[in-house]
Amino acid sequence: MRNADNMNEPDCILIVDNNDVMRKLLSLTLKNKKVELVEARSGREAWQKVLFKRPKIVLLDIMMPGDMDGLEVCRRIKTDPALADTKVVLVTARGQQADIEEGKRNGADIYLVKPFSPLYLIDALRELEFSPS
Amino acid sequence: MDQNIRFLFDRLQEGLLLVSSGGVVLYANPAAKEIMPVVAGEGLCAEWLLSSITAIQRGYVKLPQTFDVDLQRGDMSTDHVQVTVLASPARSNFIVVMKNINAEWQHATEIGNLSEMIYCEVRAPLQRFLSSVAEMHAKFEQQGENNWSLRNAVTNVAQRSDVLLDRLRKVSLLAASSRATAMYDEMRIPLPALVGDAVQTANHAIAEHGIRVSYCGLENDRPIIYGSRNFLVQALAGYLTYLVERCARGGNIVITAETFGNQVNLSITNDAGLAPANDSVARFDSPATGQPKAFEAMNLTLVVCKRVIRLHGGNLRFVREAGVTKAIVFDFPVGAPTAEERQLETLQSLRYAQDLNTLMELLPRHFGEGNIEECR
Repeated sequence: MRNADNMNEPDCILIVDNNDVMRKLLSLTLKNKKVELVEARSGREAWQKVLFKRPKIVLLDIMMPGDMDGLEVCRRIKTDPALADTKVVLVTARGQQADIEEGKRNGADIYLVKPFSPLYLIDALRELEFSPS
Repeated sequence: MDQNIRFLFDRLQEGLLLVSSGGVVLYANPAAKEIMPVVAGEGLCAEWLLSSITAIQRGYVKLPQTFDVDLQRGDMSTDHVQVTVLASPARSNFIVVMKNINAEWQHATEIGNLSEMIYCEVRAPLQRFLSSVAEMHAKFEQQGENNWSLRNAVTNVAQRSDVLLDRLRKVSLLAASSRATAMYDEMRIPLPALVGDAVQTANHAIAEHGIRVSYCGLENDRPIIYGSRNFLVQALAGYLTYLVERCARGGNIVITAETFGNQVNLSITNDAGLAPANDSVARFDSPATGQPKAFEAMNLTLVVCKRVIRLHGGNLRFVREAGVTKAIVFDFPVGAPTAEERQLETLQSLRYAQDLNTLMELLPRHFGEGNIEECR
C-alpha cells in the first residue's frame, strides 16, 4: 500500500525476462511518461527489485535460468502480505493446462502464453484495471 | 576487404562477423567459426542473432547492443558467449563481436557459490561461538573476581572476538554482494553427464571397494539442469564416496533418474540396503550448522552438499522405510527450455516486434507518450 510520501510517484511496472530483446520490446510497449518501467533479467534480480520498488504490476517470464524461476518469484510475491497490491502477469512459452494451473496455484493474476501480441498485453493490463496515474 | 585488415581480423581471439542487413554473413574470422557454424556468403542460421538484428533494424534496440547467449555444441556442452552488435562503418551492415566467456562465467559461478557457503556455513557457527565467549566474559565479570589471570584471559579473548566479528561482518558483506550478483546456475548440464562426472570423480573409492555403479533411465530425455557443474558433481560424488565406503565389498550402487513435471529425482541406493545410520540422518536433517564431521567426503560435507543442491533450487532428502534409511534422493529442477520452447522464444520476439511495429505505424501517438489504454 502506498503511503503519503510516495502518493505522487508514478506506478511501477517490473518487466522480468532473460531475453534482452523481448524485455526491450515489452518495455517499449509500455513506455509511458506516467509509468516507471523497471527491468530484471533473472528471478533473483526480480525478487530484489520487487522488494525495493514495490511494483504495481510484474510481467514475469516463467522460464528463466537460475535458482529462482518465474513461478517461485510469483509465489513469493503472493505470499508476502506487504505485496498484496502487486499483480502478477505470468508470461510463458508453456501453454499446457497443467502449467497454467500451476501458475494459478502460485497466485498469478493473468497468464499470457507465447507467442502473444502487444494487444494481449494491453488487454491483460486492462483486465487488472491498471491505468497509469 | 583490405588484405591487411583481413590479416588482422583473422588473428583476433574474439569472434568477428560482418553481417549484411539482410542477414547474410559477409565475413567470419576463424574464432567466430569456432564459436558457431557460419559460412561467408550464406545466411545466418542463428535465430537469436537474426531476431536481435531485426529488432535493431526496426529501431527497438539501440546500438551497440551487448548480451550473453548460451550456444550448444555438438557434444551437448554449452559455451557461454558474450555478443556485441555494432554498426559497421558502411552503416548498412553489422559487426558482431563474440567472446567465449566460459572461464569467467564459471569463475563467477564458483566465487558466488563459495561466497554463499562462507556466508551460510561460517557466519552462524562463528556468531554462536562469539556469543558464548561474550556470555563467559559476562560471567567472569560478575563472578570471577577471585581468579584474575583467568578473568584477564577471557577478557582478552572477548576483545579479540570483537575484531574477529568485525572482520566477519566485512566478509559477510562481501559475500552478500557476490551472492546477489553471482550466477549459481547458468551452466547447462545434461543429467547423464552430471552423473557420469560424479561417478568418475568418485571412481577411486568405487574401484578400491570393488563396487559396481549403474545408472538407469532418462538417457533419451536427457533432462537439463542449470547449475555450477563443479559443485554439483562434487555434491553427488561426495555422497557416492560416502555410500561406497559403507557398502559391502563387491556390492552394487544403483542411480535411478525419474522426472516429475519440471523436476528430476535422482535416487541413489545400494543392494545391501546400506545407508546412513538413523542418528546421522537426524543430524543431517537438522539445521545445517550441526556437526558435519561424520559426513566428510571429497572435502564437501553432506550438509554442504545439501546446501549446494538447495542453492540450485533443488533438495536432498532421505527415503526411509520402516524406520530404516533406504535411499538418498537428489531433487533437481529441470530449468532448461526444450528446443521447441527455445524456438517459441525466438518466434515470440519476432512476431511481437512485427505486431508492435504495425501498431506503432497505425497509432504512433499512443506509444511512448500516449495512453496505452487507447490502443484498442
